[in-house]
Amino acid sequence: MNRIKTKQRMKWASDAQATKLRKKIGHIVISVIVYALLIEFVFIFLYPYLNMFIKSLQFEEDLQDVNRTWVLTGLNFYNYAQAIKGLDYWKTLLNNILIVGLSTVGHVFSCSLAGYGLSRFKFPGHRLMFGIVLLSIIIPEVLLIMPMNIQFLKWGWMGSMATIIVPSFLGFGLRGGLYIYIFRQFFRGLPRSYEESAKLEGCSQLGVFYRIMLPIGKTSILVVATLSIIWHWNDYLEPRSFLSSANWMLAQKLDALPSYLYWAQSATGETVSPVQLAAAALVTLPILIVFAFIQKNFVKGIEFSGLAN
Amino acid sequence: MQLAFGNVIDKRTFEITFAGLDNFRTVLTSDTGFVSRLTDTLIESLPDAVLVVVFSLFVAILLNRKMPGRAFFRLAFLLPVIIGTGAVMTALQGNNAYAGGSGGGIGAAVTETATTFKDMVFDQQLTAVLGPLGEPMAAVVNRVSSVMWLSGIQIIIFTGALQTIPEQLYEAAYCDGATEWEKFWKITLPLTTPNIALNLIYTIIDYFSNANNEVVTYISELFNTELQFSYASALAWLYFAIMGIIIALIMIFMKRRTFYMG
Repeated sequence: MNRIKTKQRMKWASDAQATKLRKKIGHIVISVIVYALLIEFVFIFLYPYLNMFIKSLQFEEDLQDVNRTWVLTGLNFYNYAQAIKGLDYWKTLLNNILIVGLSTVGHVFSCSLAGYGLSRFKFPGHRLMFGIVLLSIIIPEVLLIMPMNIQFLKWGWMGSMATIIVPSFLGFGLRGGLYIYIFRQFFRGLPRSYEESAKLEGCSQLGVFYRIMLPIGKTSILVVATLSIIWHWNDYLEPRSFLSSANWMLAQKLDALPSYLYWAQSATGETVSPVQLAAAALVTLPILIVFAFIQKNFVKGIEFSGLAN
Repeated sequence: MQLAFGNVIDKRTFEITFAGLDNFRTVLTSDTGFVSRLTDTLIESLPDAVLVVVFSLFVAILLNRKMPGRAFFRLAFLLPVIIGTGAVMTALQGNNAYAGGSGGGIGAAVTETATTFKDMVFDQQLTAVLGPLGEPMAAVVNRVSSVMWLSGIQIIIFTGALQTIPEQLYEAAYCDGATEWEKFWKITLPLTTPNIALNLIYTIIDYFSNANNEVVTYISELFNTELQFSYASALAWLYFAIMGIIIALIMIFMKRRTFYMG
């Protein structure tokens, strides 16, 4: 009797071990697959970028050598020095930070409020309002340039940074409609119990929004902020049409970079301008750094504890 | 709007007469170019939009796992959005002329890259490796890579959405013995439906307002080179109306399938 029991126990133990091992192997297999997939996808995205970096750092001999398309024999910072001069980098960067920062704050502020309103309140015409928001996503920016131009001319804003910053505080601006939509979808997905209990405790509607909904909505704020930063940073059309050249942003400067800087015939037959590539690298680098910090915060922002649905 | 309902008599002074619905009638009855291009665009964009959404949800789920190197991968998947601007893109292509300064923003540049990228890597290498099979393979890969280039924004939105799913639900499912597969279908998918709707609509809009789109090029050609201002703007308005209808249809379709917590 006793012996059977120990045997049984040993069998259980080995079974448990086997399942543990199987789980471990399964886990490893899954991670290998995941990494393989991710690396494969990433390659497609990374290829042009790496190409740009390497070409911008290569010496002229390397550029012309077929065998050295991906090899650096030394770091050539001449292109970067030229690019910084050509872009007027530090001043333009400051412009960029000012415009992008302020309009992003504006977008988060206004669009979250609008999105919350559209998601929770069934005021008369809320469907129509939402339709208008959707319409503003559908209509391409290009069509809006002319009317906006006329309006800004009337107000005497042409050339100043206000042309880009102020609309974003009004929930409009660059793709504002999309951000409203993102916030609306997010807030609609939240349980109402939080708001109800806060209201029972005597919190005002705005108080509910700022003290409860916004802190919960951290992730959607991050999503909107990321998109807004990137799009404003890269936007070509609006700044080019509205800003005076003293206020130009990096994208415009990059485009206006003199083409005679120096061109090289690369080994594969394409003509490349290493200075332009260096400039492009300089333009994209700051947002990469910013996003490296932002993405750390993409973690679970919500605690639904203590909620009885 | 005024242009669409009128006829431009004098192209220098932009004198406009009211022509009522004449322009619209021409579009629908006697213009063969518009309708065929429109159907082409629709057939091309709708499956692609679905693919983009599925792909980006898939990637977002992969990126949501706790693993070493996650920060790097997230950054890498953002690259197409970052370098997808006209100015940076053209610099990358070693081509100083900003192609279509008023183009459709990111979408246009991205499709452009996808094609140049395809030319650069896949065509050469695939034909070298696979011989006669190379070309069809390259076509498939090209489509996949262009889908991937278009899905950067959707990935960000999904990553955010996945973070809002409360951990407790997964724990409860785990206690009830649910497998990963079941957890995906019963928890992840229903709770991301609001964002799936959002991404689907955004992707379709992106496709439709893309400057490389056949209809858009057709309209801008009419407007810019053939100077048929009023006819082109009638077309543009009609195009918007059709876009609006399609998006409304999708919204109605998604509305029944969208699940909101709370």
